[in-house]
Amino acid sequence: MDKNSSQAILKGENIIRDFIVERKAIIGTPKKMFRALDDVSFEINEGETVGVVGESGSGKSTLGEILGGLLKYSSGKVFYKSKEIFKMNKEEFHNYRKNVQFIFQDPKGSMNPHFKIRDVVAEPLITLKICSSQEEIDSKVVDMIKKVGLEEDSIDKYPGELSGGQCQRVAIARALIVYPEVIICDEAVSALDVSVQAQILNLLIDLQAQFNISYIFISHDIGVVNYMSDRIIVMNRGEIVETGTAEEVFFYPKEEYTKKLVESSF
Amino acid sequence: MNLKENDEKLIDIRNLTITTSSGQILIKDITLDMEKGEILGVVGESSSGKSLTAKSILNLLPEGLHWEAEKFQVMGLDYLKEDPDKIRSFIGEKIGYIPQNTGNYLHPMIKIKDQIADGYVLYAKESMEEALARAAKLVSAVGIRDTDRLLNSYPWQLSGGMRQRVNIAMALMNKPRMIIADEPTAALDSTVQRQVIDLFKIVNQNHNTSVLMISHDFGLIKYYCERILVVYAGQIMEEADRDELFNNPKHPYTKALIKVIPSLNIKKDERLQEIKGNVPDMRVPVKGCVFKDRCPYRKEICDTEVEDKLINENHYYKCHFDL
Repeated sequence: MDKNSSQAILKGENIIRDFIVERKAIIGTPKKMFRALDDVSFEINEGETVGVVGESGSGKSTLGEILGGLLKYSSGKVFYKSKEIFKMNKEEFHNYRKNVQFIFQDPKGSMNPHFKIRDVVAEPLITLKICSSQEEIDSKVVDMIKKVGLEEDSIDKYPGELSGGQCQRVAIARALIVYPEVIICDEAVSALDVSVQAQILNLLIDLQAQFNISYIFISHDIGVVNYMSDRIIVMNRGEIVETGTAEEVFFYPKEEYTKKLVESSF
Repeated sequence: MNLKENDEKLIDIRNLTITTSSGQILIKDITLDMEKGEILGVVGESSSGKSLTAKSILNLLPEGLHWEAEKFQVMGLDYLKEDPDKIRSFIGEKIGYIPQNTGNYLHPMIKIKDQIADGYVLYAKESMEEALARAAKLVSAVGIRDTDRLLNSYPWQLSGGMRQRVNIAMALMNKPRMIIADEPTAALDSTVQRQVIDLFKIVNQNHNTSVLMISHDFGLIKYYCERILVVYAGQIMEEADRDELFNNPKHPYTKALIKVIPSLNIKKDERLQEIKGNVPDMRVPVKGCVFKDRCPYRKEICDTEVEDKLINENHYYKCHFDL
């Protein structure tokens, strides 16, 4: 099970997130709420891959966004290295942001179409003020572009000129350029062709071995999650219904919902 | 109409080629046969031309594209000779289509109930009440609980998965003789996906409705289709019955495709086999085999034109080698 729970890099405790569905007036008091996450606790250790599966609307993306600090929670706590993220000072929060990165489902949609690939990949370096000079930025970008298996000349192209698989590599390069400790992959390979999907999965595994990255791997594809993950979390309607190793969850599921999920995958 | 001659074949297309107005070839020499009551799967990656093939059957090719074929008969109707108006009403009546991008195929300003009933009233010559009752039945069969609310909604009030299910129900309204399903379950959750696929199977068994299923999901195609076409870059790479295709794949692309998909059977320490490179840009003409740039068995001979190789009457593939 857990290697050592006190060592968790990222940890969520009893997270609840409500969304307002309907208000009385435009800025009136909320009339109807929707609970996207209900008392969810989560942790991930160094170098570990945790898979999050569930159907759409189960709250798996919301969980990812909350752990990554993109979304506030209604109640509960998120810790990065045992510090609560919204109680951090500016410096600590900066460090947290640097070390927790995202890869999204739609690589093109997550890039500014008017940016060249060079600028897309360099953006975290600039916003997080990691590099001091333009030369340093350039050399880091070129270095990273090569690491993810892209040609060097692609840095002067625009996202629209690249294929889906190439764009996903750019998204990985952008996440990796600050050498994060955790990458949250939200349906990172779902939009790719199957022949390209395997390349990206292998790349993620290689990079994990090289840099000891932890992945939170969110996907509806049970085959992919099973292959990638050490530990699995099954979510349904905002709650965690089952956790365990990939083998425990997918081959010997205990909960009805998990069984249904496994059976319906082809 | 000449229904007698080719009554036994549902679809008989020989050497279909689709070109753009500037002469680029998007689909080359696709031959498609379908028997009545058959479930045929077309599997391929994005831009392999699988949707275009379906759209040519539905007369829905985007503007500026042009098709040519030696023979193009659908349920005995000859597209090469027949009057376009006649073809259109024939398609509307006999073929149910589930498009890939479901949002764009529904009119945003018309309520679902009016859209879904429209075709049925037109072709089945039934009353609106009759049509709505049928619609409600079908909509609940695809797993929607609150049918009243759904039928009274506008498309933009529905989620992608719900819109897709509306399209599926709509395709079944006219009791079509054939369903063309282009990635029918792409926006659906896996449990609903299974439900929808099983519904197709029931329709197929009960009404002998043929299904042409297009998907990039090899697992789904394997589960569902009796015969499978593997397409790549606008050409058919291999065609065989399901079991034959999975037990005895001949084309390097098919072999790779079967191995490349992570399933629950994979060992975790085993490295996923990958296919190097990217799907080719079909606008750039390729000499010889279209898969050669990504093929591990590539030799000089691959630059020359490939002929279809026949293994038996149901199994052929497009490769120089016998692997």
